Amino acid sequence: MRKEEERRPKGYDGVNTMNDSNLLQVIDVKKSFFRAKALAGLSFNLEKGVILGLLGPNGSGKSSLLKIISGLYRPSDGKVLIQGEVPSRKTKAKVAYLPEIDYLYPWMSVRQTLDFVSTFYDDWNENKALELLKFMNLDPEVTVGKLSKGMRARLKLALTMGRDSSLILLDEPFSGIDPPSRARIMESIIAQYSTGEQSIILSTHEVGESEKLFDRVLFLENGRLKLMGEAEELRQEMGKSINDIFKEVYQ
Amino acid sequence: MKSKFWTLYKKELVSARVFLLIFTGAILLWQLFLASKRNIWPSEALVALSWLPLAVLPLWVMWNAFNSFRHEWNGNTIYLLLSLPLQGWKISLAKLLTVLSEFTFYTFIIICGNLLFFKPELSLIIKELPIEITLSNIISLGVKVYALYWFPIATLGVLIQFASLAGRLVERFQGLLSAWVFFLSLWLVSRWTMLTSGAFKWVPDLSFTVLTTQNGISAQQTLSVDTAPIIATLVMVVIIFITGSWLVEHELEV
Repeated sequence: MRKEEERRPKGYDGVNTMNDSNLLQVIDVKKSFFRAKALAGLSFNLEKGVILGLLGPNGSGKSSLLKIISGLYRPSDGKVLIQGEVPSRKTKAKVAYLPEIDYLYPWMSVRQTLDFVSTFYDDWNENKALELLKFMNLDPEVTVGKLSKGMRARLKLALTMGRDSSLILLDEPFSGIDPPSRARIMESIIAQYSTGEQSIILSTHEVGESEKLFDRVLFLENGRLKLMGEAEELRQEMGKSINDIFKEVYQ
Repeated sequence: MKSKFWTLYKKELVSARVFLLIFTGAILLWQLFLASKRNIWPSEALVALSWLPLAVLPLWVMWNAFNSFRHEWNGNTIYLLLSLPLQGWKISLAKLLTVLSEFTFYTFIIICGNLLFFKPELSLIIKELPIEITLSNIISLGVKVYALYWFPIATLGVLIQFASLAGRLVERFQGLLSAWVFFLSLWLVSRWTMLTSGAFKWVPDLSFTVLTTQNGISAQQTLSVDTAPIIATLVMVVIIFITGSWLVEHELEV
């Protein structure tokens, strides 16, 4: 993999110079927990209108990176800039984040959850959210605690994609989800994504079905960048699908 | 446009509804039990015991203030709360106000329970009071005493909430750090009050007019409460609250 590690793909210029189209800059970001290193000096840029696949096995630092971008973690070193600003209350208003875990109040109904979340975001798109609910077959009157895991995942996605955010972070949206829910989630990401207006970072360790979504992929290993490149270019150069490259990288 | 703070506060109140019902039921059951002892136990003892939950409430406030953020971490809902583009003080204040609102609500329930179950005993006590002491005197004094009781409760709530938040700054020994921060902040408040209350001497004292009876002779007496230490304490409590809110917005991680 030496050759792949030396690759300098688009979005990674090594020095992270700012240009107008940069939506996100990750500059030598490190994150440690007690003695464990989650991220060990990660740098890359992301422009508007890109769907980035953040790939790596469990524990590679995907979730930590997304939490840092969303402002839920603070980097131990280095910095993250979202449209030139460090993660803060201001950037939280621009970033839509879907965590892997169940983070919704189980006693709220689907409608109450939407009402609650919508209050805090100026970019909330009520019509889009309701359309998503319908598409996801979610009954607004059902209590969140009574939804199956797959239905909760659909609701989480409706809450995230129901915003017109410039940056969307999806942390393992397909993890442990039944195939019908996966398909629905995938379809709605494609349907609701505003090409050119939004960027999505989608982390997953199950590449197969989601690889068709990615414009660019970033492979993480032990908190370091293993490989980054345009999905189509990688497929052509290596003569393999992203899923096969993933298997090769982490074998 | 819905107010962000109101939405948060409403969420806190609704999430506390089950506990609210349980505690209300427990207070009323206790008073009902006491009412069943009418003609067995002395009426003064029954009325006094019916106010007993008010003595337990500070412990409940401490527990609830400590758990208000802990629940969010335990249920992973902290991910949602901290990802909202909100000032930390709004999140902290919504939680603190909920605890204090519940405290006030329980006090109201205790009063209502008293009026409901112990009306004959209360009437008897009022009848035995000197004629100069009117019901409005009692209510006015009760409100002032309650306000003075509410202040240390609110202070306690702020300190406990701050201690629980400070505990979240470390990955291990969170309980130990919380306990240490709580006692440290108590010490800080008392030292600060001692050192700075002189600066607030210009604030007028609170005065209470009470009617006392000695040897059958009634007399009006004015009691005054020094407001300077209260203001000094309030200043430090506000500083601690702001620090806690800053932790919520800038330092805490999920």
